[in-house]
Amino acid sequence: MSFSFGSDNRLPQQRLAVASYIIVGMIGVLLLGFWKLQVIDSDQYGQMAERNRVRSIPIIAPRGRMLDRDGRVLVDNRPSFSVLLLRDDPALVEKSLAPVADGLGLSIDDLHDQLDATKALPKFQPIVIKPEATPADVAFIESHRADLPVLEMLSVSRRRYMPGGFMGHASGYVGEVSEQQIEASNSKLRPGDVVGKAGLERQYNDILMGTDGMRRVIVNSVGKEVDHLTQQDPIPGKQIQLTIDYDLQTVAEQSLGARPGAVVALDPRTGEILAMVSRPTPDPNDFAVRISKEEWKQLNEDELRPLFNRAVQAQLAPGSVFKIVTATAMLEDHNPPESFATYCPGYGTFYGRQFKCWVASSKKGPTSHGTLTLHDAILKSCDVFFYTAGMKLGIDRLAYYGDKFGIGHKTGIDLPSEESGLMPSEPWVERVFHRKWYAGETISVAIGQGAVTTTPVQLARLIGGIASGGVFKQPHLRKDLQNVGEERVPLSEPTVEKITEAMYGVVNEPGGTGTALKIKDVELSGKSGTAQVIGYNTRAKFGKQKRFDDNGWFVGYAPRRNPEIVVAVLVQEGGGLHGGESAGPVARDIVKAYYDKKMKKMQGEVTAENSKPTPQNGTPAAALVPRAAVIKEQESAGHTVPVRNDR
Amino acid sequence: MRDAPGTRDYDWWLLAILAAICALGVLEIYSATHGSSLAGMHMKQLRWLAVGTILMFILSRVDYHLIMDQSLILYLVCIAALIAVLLLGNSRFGAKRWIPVMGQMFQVSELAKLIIIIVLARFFTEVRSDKLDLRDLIKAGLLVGVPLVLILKQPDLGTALVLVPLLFVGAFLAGLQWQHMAAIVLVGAMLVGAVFYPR
Repeated sequence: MSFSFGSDNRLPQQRLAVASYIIVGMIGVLLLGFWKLQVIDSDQYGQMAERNRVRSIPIIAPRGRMLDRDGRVLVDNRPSFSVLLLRDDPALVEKSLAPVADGLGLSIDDLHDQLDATKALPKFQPIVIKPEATPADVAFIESHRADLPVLEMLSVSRRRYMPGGFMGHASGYVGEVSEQQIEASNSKLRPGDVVGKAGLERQYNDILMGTDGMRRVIVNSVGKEVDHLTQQDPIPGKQIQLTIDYDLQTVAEQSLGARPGAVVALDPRTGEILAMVSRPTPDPNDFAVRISKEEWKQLNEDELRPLFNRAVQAQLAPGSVFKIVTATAMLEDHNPPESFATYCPGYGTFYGRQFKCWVASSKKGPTSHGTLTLHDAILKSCDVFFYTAGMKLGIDRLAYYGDKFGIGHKTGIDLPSEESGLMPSEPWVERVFHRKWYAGETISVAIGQGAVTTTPVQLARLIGGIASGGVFKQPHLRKDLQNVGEERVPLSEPTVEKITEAMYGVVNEPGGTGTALKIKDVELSGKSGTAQVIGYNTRAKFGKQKRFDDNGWFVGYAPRRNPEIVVAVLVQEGGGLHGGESAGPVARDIVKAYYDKKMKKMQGEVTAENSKPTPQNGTPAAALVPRAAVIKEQESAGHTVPVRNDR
Repeated sequence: MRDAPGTRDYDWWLLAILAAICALGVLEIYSATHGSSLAGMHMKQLRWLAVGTILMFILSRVDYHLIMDQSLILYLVCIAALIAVLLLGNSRFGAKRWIPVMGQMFQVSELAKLIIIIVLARFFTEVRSDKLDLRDLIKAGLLVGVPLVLILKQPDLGTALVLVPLLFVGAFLAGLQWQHMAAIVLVGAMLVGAVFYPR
């Protein structure tokens, strides 16, 4: 490639001049624009720059309160301040860190860590460095507005629960929304929102949660608020009224004490839950601010599983309480006939294997039941009688009735994560284990052992439903729940009469397993249970090391026909006691408190309107009944629920 | 290489205007970033200005004809580099404009601007007559069109559009005929209208 460039002068001078003038002209235009920006409009832009920082500060909407059935506040909010660190100016933040850490009692390393962790977030987004400001912190921030403009306070509303985990499993707790929840919410939830994480807080989050407002303010170049643009008011969440009776709940909490277990008290006529306790329990107040990683880990790894709501999640062998199912099946099917009697020598042999009756290992009294019929067999909870009845009925009939009465089905209670329990059957073993049913398994199932598992709320519904003549109401916690489910299992009148007669006898006839629970003038009835093994499923859940080898059950109700209250109690620390001895007194305390309150109401001493429960007087159980208090917004913080340790 | 140019050979007016524009740029950056998270960026600008000034004096001692002679190779390298960007460039802010060269992120289209100027200058010197005929105009258009399309694909409309006035001014000085110019202006105006004001 070769050619000469010729003379540089070949350039057409005329055109060069034209091009030059055009370019000069364009530069002139640019200079004019520059002049306009820098000189003519300089004041206007200067002012805009001075006022150009609009800061959006959220106004947190308070969550709706939870009231008890009489309108007393169970879960409330309290105002609080969070400390925000504004990060618009990194140099200023860096300079301010030491005095900020000093003034708020924070570690400077923690602050650095928090800043590093939030590096990716936009600079105008402030971060919360202290979720719960003390009055001293507030004073510190107010007095250092001028020299520490990086600090700002955010007024928030925090959940306040009754102290000591009172009703903690039913109420649940709140926490910062997770990413999955944000995705599932159709962009209704935003990062940083506080939502219900468990229990009623989660179940009714849509009602309880309000819509946050927003305050737009103008701040000057040192971060001081100089003007107020707009305010979008928050919409507070709606309150919900619960079916819980604060008085009964208090008795239930205290009577169960610190023992692991659960209590469900409900009105079988409506399905309304009057009290619900699960132990152990975390204090939901601990979640209301911000729970530390260590605490959370500890709660999750605790062998006793404090986050587990035993009332609706514990799937355990019902033990002898199940004998009511077997007995009902026997009477309805007339197989064996009602007049059937069996001799109990303390054990029975079925399909070549010996099955013991609990009476054989009882430490006091006889080691056999002798000859008995159904009524006495329920009273004394004779295993041999029900082994025999179960064998005659067969697993298909037992499974039919167990299933009809709701075992293996969720009750539909308005709480998240309810478990369904399990009613074993021939199709079930074939489906799950791909094997045939062993006849010997029927014998265990007949007395509520083997693979059959139930939750406390299921047993309360079951016993209440049978005593109500076969009407099973959906247990629920929200007072104005629409369309409460109902299931009817037609039971013949003689069957219901026989069964309720026998359960009345458990408490009120000599020889019953619950005679110590008798209450004067109250037809307390019920059935005890002592389950020696835990179900397959739950064993896997609880781990192998910890064995709950004696779960005490008692399901009590009153009056004996068409009961007003059913109480299912589970105590997982029997200490060698049977269910009637460990769990029975809890059921008795609650039923007694129910009647005491009812009497007072009838005498006009307590009305739902003034609902100021007075201290109990003179009755023997007075020590167990709490000094009930009306919880007002300011009062409840200092209350503690005394825990009854003796039993 | 020619003899080193003496101080009298420099266009001092040009240098003075250049220096003024650069100083204004530094001032503007200082004023705009003052007190913000980008504070101190004007120092970075000064450092690169110093590097640029040194490079400018070094390059001014090279006979530009030597550079012009390499225009074909430069052009091919430029096209290859632009294709490379599209194939293996790094994405930032949703556009592929950078390839790493010796640990630095390098924006190829910046180099392309310079090379297109050299290539156009070389091309138009070959046009002997005072009038640019249509064939040469189309050839020049193709020379600019290929890198322009490649840069548009990154996409980097800003840099791509810088190439158009380069072609226009080059063609004008090389004897663009008035009727051609009118046609280009007309077509350009129609294109702009079609793009920005559809319907």
